[in-house]
Amino acid sequence: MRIGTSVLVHNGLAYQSYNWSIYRPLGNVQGVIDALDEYECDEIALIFPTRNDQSIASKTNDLDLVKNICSTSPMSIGGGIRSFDDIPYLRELPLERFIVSSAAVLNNWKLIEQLKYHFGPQAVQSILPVKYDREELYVFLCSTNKFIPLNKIDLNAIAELSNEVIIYDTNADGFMDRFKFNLISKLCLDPSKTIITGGVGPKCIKVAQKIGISACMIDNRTLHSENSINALKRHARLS
Amino acid sequence: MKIDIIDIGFGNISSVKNWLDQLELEVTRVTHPENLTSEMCVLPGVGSAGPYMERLNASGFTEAIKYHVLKGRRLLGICLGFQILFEHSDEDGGTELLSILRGKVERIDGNQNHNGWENLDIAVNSFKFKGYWGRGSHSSKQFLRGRAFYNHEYAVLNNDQCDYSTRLSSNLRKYTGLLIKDNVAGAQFHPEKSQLFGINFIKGLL
Repeated sequence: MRIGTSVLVHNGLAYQSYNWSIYRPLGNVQGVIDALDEYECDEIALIFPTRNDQSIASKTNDLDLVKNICSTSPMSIGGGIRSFDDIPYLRELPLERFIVSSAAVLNNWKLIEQLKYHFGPQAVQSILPVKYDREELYVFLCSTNKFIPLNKIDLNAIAELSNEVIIYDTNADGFMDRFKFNLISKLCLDPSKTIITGGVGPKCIKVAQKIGISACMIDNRTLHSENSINALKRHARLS
Repeated sequence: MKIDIIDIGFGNISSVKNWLDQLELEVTRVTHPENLTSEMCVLPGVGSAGPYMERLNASGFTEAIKYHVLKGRRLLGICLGFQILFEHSDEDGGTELLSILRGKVERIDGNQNHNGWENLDIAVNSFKFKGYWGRGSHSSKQFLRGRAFYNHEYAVLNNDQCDYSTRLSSNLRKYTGLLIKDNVAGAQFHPEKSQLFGINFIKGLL
């Protein structure tokens, strides 16, 4: 099981988040990447928080920043990959994988197929930011900035077309050990092709390992030594 | 020492260049086959075999790579760049590859994805005897130990006599993870994204 981290990138700086809405600044992106390289982070997801109809192509400063990142860890990027026009901007980035959200939720299979054509089937991950509201499950649609009912999306197709699916528990975002594992069974996903994030901590790591989750992405405090990648990997080894 | 990176618009060129730059080598991105002149070239590859080979054939690099190898110059293929050194891939309905090495590429058993890290333990003495690799120009380490990053759905079934090879993993034993034959080396893993091991790997390989 891989243990990685997600880092938000906005206007040239790195952040982590609480509750899907509050951003905690981490500082210079390359500095954060250097620390994660040193921690031997299994992978780093760079997320551009994108709402409404913004596309990744419009974030030229952040794209330039990512283009110049120097890292020896596997990296992925997500946020605003919405159309074929975005693909040329992705080609120059030093990244292995690309994360789609709205494209997956809105059944934009042609875009996903194009990403697979250009970067390989192993390169495409879908992310589903989810929340519970009165026992019902909702998925966040970034392009409209709204949560929509789970039954409005074709989960089977998303799982089929993506190399891996990332489940982001937005209720637990930023908290320690609050990720709800019943999301996996509720979404009927294959654990071996599922990545979890949002409220992941040491106890979650142990549970995730037991059920065969593909990867855990730590959403907060990975630069604190007690919550560092190394500390969490020790939890996985000792479980 | 000069190294060429073949750039056909597919592949994680920036990452490979950043990785090689750490050794303070003279690294050139080569976009035209007539500029493939260095003693060593790296063939990175990300994507799938069909489109990649189409682009390689259309660009004229297919013949340039074969000539490069025939002349005894060193070639390192990475990930898809390693796979295309063989004869045939099942990907994209069947794709003819460069046939520099004998063997084929197939979908990993059970439709598995191989995403993650594997431990590797490489003895440099095992492959340096022919003088192509492990020359000690950047490292005197005799053992390269660490973990390497893999991210692929198709894998190599090698059918060639080689100087050195490793299995993909303890669970995927029939597939090849690293292969060295004369002046050709290939890695299914991404050394440019394998952190400290990746840096030690290229230092030990050169």
